[in-house]
Amino acid sequence: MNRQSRYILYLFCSVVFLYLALPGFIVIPISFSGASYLQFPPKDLSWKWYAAIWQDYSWTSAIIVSFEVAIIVVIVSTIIGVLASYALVRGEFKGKNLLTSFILSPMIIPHMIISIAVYKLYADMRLIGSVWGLALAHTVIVTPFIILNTSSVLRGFDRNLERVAAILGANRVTTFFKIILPLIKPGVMAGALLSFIISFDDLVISMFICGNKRTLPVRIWEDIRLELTPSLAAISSIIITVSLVVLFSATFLQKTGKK
Amino acid sequence: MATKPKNNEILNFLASYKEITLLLPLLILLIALFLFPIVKVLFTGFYDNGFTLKHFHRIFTTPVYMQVLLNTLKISMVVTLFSILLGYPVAYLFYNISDRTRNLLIPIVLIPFWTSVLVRTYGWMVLLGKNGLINNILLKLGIISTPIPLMYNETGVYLGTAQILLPFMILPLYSVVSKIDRNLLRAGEIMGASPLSVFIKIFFPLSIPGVATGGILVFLLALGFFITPALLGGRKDIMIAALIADQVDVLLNWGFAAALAFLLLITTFFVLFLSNKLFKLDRIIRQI
Repeated sequence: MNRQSRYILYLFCSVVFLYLALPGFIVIPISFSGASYLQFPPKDLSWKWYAAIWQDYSWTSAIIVSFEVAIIVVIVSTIIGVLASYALVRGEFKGKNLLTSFILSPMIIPHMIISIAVYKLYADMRLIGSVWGLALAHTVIVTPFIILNTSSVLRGFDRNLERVAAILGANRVTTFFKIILPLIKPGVMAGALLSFIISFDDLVISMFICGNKRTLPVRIWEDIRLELTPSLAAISSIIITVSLVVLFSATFLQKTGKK
Repeated sequence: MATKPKNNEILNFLASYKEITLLLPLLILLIALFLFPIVKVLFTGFYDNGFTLKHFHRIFTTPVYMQVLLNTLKISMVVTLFSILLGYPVAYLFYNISDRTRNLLIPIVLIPFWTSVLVRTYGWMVLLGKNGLINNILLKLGIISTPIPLMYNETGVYLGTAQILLPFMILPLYSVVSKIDRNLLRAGEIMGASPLSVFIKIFFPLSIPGVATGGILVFLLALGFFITPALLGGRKDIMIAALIADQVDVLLNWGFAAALAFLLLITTFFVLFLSNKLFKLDRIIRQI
C-alpha cells in the first residue's frame, strides 16, 4: 500500500469506528444531564435520573427480574450445554450432523418466530408471567452459544489425558470433574458470560411471555416508544456498565485460560 | 492381543450409549420449547376448520402486506451491502496493522457487539431525533435552517440496523482474513505485481469466504430483525417481524401471524440452503 491509500484507509476506518462507538457512548453523558429533556452536551450535571430509577418500583423490580432470569439461564444452560457438547464432541453416533444442526438452529431461526410460538404454548399452559418460564425460553436461544464455546476447547485438548485417568482407575464422573472440567473451564466461563448478556438484553423472546414479570428490556420498550426521557439514558448507562464488566471478565478469563 | 479390539468395541458402545444420554436434557428442552411450539403455531397458518390457504392469499393479494415483504427483503439487502462496504476496509486494516494496535482497536468492534441492541437503538434515537445531536450540530453550523428528518424513515432504519449488525460482518470476515498467508502477497510483489493487483488477484479472492459468511449472517439477522427497524422506521418501513408482533399482540390474529412466520422461516431456510450450496457453510457445523 502506498502512503496515500494508507491514509484514505485510516480515515475511512476512523469514520466506521466512530459510527460503531457513538450511539452506545452518547447515552452516558446524557444520563448525567440536569435538564428534563434531551440535551447535549448537558449544561449542569446531576444524578437525578439515576435517583429517579432507584425510586421507581417498576424499574427496580424489572432490574431484579432480569437478574433472576439471567442467573437461572446461566446455570441451566451451562449445565445442559456442557453435557451436550461433551456428547457431540466425544460421541460417535448416526445422524450427528443432523442433530448438531438442530441443536444450533435456535441461533438462526428468527427470534420473533420462537417468541410467538412460546407465547402460544405458555398461554395454553398458563405459564405467562413466570420467572422460570422466561428463563427456560431464554435457555433455548442461549445454549447454542455455550455449546460453540465449550466444543472449541473440548476439541482442543489431548484426549490421552482422559485415557490416562481411566487407566489409573478413575471412573467417568471423576475424570469429568478432575480432568475435563478444569481444562475446559475458560471456554465454559466465556460461554456462560455470553449467555448472561444475551438473556439480560433479550426483548423479543420476553415481550409476550413476561406478563407482569417485566424484564428490564421490556420495561425500557414500554417507555422508549412514547417518550425519550433522560431516565432511559440512566438505565442504558447502567446496562452498558453491566455489559462492559461482563465483557472484560470474559476477556480476562480467556487470557488466564491461555497461559 | 486378540481380545483387544473386541474390548474396545464394547467400551466404545458403552461410551457412545452414555454420551447420547448426555444430550437428553437439551433435546427435551428443545423439543418442548422450540420444535413443538413452532410446528404447532405454524399449523395455525394453514388451519381454519380444515386446511386453508386464505391467510397466504390475503398476504399476496393485499398491497400493504406485499409492501412489507418487499421492504423486508430490500432493507436486508441494503443493510448487508452497507455492512460489507463498511466492514471490509476495517478487516483489511486489522490485517495490515501491528498486533498491539489491533488489540487496542478490536474493542471498538467488540463492545457494540456486547452492548444491548435496545440501548444502542436508544442512542441512535438521541442522535437522529428532531432535536437530536446531529440536527443540533447542523443547525448551529448553519448548514441547515430547519431540522431534517433522520428518524422514522428509511434513513434511520438503514443507519441504525447496519450499525447494530456491522460487528457480525467484521468478526467472521476478520477471522478468515487473518489466516491469509502473508508470503502469498509477498510472492506476488516479488513477481512484480502492483499493490492493486496483489489486492485484486490474491487478497480479495482469499477473503471471499469471510465476506460470504459475514454477509449471510447479517442478511439472516436483518430478515427477522425487530427492535431497531421498529423504533427508527416510520409507518412505511415496517418489516415482517414487526408485522408478526402486531398481529399477535394487538389483533390476536394467530392464523395470519403464523402464515407470516412461515414465510419468514421458509426464506431463512432458503437463504441457508442456497449459501450452503454456494459457499459450503456446513463446514462450520462439521467442526463441532
